Amino acid sequence: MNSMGKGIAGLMLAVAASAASPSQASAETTLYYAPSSDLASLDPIASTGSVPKIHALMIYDTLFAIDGKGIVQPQMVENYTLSEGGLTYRFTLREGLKWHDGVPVTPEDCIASLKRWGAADTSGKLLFDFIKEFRVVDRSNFEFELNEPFGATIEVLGRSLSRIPFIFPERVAMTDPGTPITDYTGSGPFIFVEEEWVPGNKLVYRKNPDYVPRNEPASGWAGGKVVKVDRVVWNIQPDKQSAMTALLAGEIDIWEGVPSDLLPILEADPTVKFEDSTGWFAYLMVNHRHPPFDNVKAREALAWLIDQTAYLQVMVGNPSLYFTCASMYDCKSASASDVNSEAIAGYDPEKARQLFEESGWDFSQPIVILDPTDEPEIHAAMLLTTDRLRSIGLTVDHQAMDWATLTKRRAVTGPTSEGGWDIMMTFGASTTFGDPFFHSRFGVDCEKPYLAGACDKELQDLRLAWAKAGSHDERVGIAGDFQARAFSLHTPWYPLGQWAVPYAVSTKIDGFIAGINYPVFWNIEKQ
Amino acid sequence: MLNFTIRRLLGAVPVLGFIALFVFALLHLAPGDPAGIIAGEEASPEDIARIYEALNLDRPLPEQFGLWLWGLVNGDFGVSIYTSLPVLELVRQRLEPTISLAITTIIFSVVVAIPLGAYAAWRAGSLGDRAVMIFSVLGFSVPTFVLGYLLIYFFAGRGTPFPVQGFVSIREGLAPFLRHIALPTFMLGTSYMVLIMRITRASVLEILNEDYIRTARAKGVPERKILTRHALRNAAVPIVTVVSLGFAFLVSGVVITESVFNIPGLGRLTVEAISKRDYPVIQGLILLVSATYVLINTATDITYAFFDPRIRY
Amino acid sequence: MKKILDNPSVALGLVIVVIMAVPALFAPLVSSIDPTAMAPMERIKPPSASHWFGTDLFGRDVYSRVVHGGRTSLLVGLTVAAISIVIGMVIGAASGYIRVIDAVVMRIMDGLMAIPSLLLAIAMVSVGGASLTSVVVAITLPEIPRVVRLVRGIVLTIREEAYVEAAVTAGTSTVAILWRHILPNTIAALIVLASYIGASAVLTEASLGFLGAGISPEIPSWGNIIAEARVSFQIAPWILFFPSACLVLIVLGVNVLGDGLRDTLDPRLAKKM
Repeated sequence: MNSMGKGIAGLMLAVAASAASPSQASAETTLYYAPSSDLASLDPIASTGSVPKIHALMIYDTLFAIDGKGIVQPQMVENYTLSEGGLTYRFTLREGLKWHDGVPVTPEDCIASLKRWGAADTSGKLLFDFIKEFRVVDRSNFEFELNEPFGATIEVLGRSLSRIPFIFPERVAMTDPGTPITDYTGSGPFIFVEEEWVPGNKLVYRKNPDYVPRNEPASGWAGGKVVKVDRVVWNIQPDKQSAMTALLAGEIDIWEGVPSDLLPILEADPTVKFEDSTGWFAYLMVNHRHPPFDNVKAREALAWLIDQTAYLQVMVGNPSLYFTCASMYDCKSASASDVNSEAIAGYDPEKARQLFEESGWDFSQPIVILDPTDEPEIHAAMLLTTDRLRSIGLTVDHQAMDWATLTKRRAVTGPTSEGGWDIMMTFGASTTFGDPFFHSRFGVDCEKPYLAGACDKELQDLRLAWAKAGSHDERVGIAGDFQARAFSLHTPWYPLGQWAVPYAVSTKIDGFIAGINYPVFWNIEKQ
Repeated sequence: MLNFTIRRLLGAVPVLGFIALFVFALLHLAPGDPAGIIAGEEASPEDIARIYEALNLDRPLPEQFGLWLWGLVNGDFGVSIYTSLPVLELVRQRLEPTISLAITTIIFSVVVAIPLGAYAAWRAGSLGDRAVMIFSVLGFSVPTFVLGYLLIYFFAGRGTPFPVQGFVSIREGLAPFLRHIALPTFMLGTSYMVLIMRITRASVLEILNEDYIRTARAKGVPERKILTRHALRNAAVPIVTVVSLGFAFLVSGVVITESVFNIPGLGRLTVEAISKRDYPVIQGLILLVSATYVLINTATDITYAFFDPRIRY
Repeated sequence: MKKILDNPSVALGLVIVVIMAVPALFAPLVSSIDPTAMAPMERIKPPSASHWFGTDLFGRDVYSRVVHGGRTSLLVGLTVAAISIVIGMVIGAASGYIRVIDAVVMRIMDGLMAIPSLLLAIAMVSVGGASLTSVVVAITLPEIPRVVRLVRGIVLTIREEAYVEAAVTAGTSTVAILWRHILPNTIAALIVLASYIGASAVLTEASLGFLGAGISPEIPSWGNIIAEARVSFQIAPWILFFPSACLVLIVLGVNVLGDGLRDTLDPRLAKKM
């Protein structure tokens, strides 16, 4: 062997040795994640979007958090006490909570953050209606006093999902809730690396070395948030086809938002495995303010025209991923029932046509449908809706637009002749549909009508009664009453079914916490 | 000469002013605004209204236009509504992939197109010429995205040297850079190449029919020399024009190529900004691209005037 | 006319265009299946006897959609070509003949040309909504300066000709001079340009659809079909293949036709276009 050959052999030995040594191999691990879409905002209070929450779950911490079983557990809070008479809550913060700049977390930070959240969030506003005053006790204790006992206080703090009550430094929390924040200092297990941020393409986080996790094992969003990688890089993939090939090539480790039609290709690949996601709950909304859907007959007619299987088939396509659910609530939740669900569960175009006629609707008048073509599932469902309405002889004005336009259009309360709308659709994380209270879409307040303009005093009272109720059984009962009345009035919306597309994950990944609304990146190990 | 240059550059100012006003008006007439997108799915109309106000979108349009224009005059392109980052910073982040792609495309197209075009003209009517012409019509008729998907389907992915998507900076090594940029370059370059090829063929053909070429031939100057020394050199002006004016053409192609191959460049930034109504970003980008176009145009005109004093526009 | 048809490019181009256009024109006769009728249980089926080109993600018949989509694409191509030629001709003639408006008009044309056409079109569709009208307007607008420049150039040359000057001296009105002496000289060039504009309009419509900024997806068009086929092209290549092939063929046909017309009508145009 000549000297060069020896050199190469030596080099190969060295490489083999370094590969075998674990300390060398784990020098710096980076986890690559492709979210379902780009995030519109880095402020989880100004925005109710889901991707901003995934970002916020990494860099911020919360007072309470739900665990894998959906039970609210203390997170930043060490423990809390409720005074005799149920009016004063006192919270003790954990030892060692620090902001990313090293400054300790104070009760003032928590109070300011809760106030910003309470000014924006629907359930937060409700809680704040009960809060008389906040008091700082000392450097790790604070309390608030209620006007009257409110049974759901801790539930609201831990379970509010439209806007999660994240804790920000006081200076950040003083921002008006409508103004997106620009200071991204948090106290969570990851630090946002602003210098490496390329909006629309890449977000970078590094492990927070000073984070003190709780001692309990990680479960859901609760327990010890132990970070086992050095960096997490978000790779925004606007094209699903590219995202898939990037996953197969090992360029990303976790992919959220897999189109169900591509699953067979991923299933055939040995380097990809799947992790359960919570799944989605789709619902159709009609404008209650104007004909035809101000009339309960027309609303009932539409219910008979809804065939959940057809909707799920065009939105998802793969029967193993979806299931029909003729309830107002997530069919996996305790509140789910089939009371008064005949019209939703059934499909009878002839009956629908008759009811439309009985409602006095002129079939030559156009029904305006809003179709956001850049949202594939909604787009598919709206095309089907148009097809079904036309099949019974109705006239449809199918208006295609992008999501940016739709968010503006759906807020128009006037009739369709003035830019209004009749039918639109959206979907949300199914766990947020477990009760009639938390999700803002259950809004039926006549004084502050919601997007659809639905209004019913009795339903609104039931929502409040649910929040005030003391026991689980009492709540399930109230949820049932709410559905019974809502379905008899065909308001405020129609469920279209549920589906869950799993996360596609590299087999190099272990410890993924599955089965909650959004992915979290602590507890994950990468080989 | 200097006078002419100054006049041409000053003439560009009203053009850019027109573009600024036109783009601003167009965007602000568009339905939809960023507030609804920031607010997210579960937001109430009040949430959206609050963000709308916080972003100053409720101010009168002339005031908004004035503020933007005043910023521009002071070299400030504003900040992105979504990220609060300066527009110029966003452009800087996305500049490299686009410039890289544009340069590789121009090199690739010119290197392939000019010899082929010249050959076709030299052997006009031959089988080779026919092949070149058929290829040129075909290249013009296949939409770039269809070509892109064909390339991905047949040449990219596992077992090939070409990745399906993404961009790697040349600073990270020539080989990975070329592997990533090869297919996008081919996709974007094909129609551009065809354009240059056609002009080269037409120009060279015209010159080959000139008297002095006939004289040269009659004097027994070798064909190769006639082609390179006389024909191509004299055909250079129209070819250079097409190469430089192809800029606008490249920009449109870049948007689609970046979308197909998931390249984080300026094209994708613009499309994303339009769909999110990120007004300062779109306005800044379109103005920058248009200004570049006007500059290239002006530079081309000045070059002509320099070489041919008869030209005075 | 006979001479024109003798040109092999013209003949070939015409044959391709006719073969592609006839089914589109008679779409309802050629395909009895409603191109928008959904059959959610029949989605993503490969080509078969009942569905010649297979079915798409909604279980719609791809053959029927491609045939009807051809109508939309041809309509876009023809309308854009016609409107941009007419408007461009008027502006170009006026600009070339009337000094006062020339400077202003040409600055505006320069401005329009400087804005990348595809970006302008995307922005315009987001203003006007995803309707056929706004797509046509969005594609037409950036084409107008090309026509204006060509017409203006020809007008500038012709107005110096002796017979035009004679007409001016004889007191013929400006409109009459433009109509009688100048416009006829632009026809050949405009026919050729129109074919190129038509072909590129069909491509742009498809590109806009591909980028999600095209005609309302409820209306089948080749751009829309291709855009929807993007995600599934590895599992259902037929949805992407058929409309793409049609698109390539018709654009090819029109381009070949345009080249042939150019060579027979006015060989000098080769360098201008």
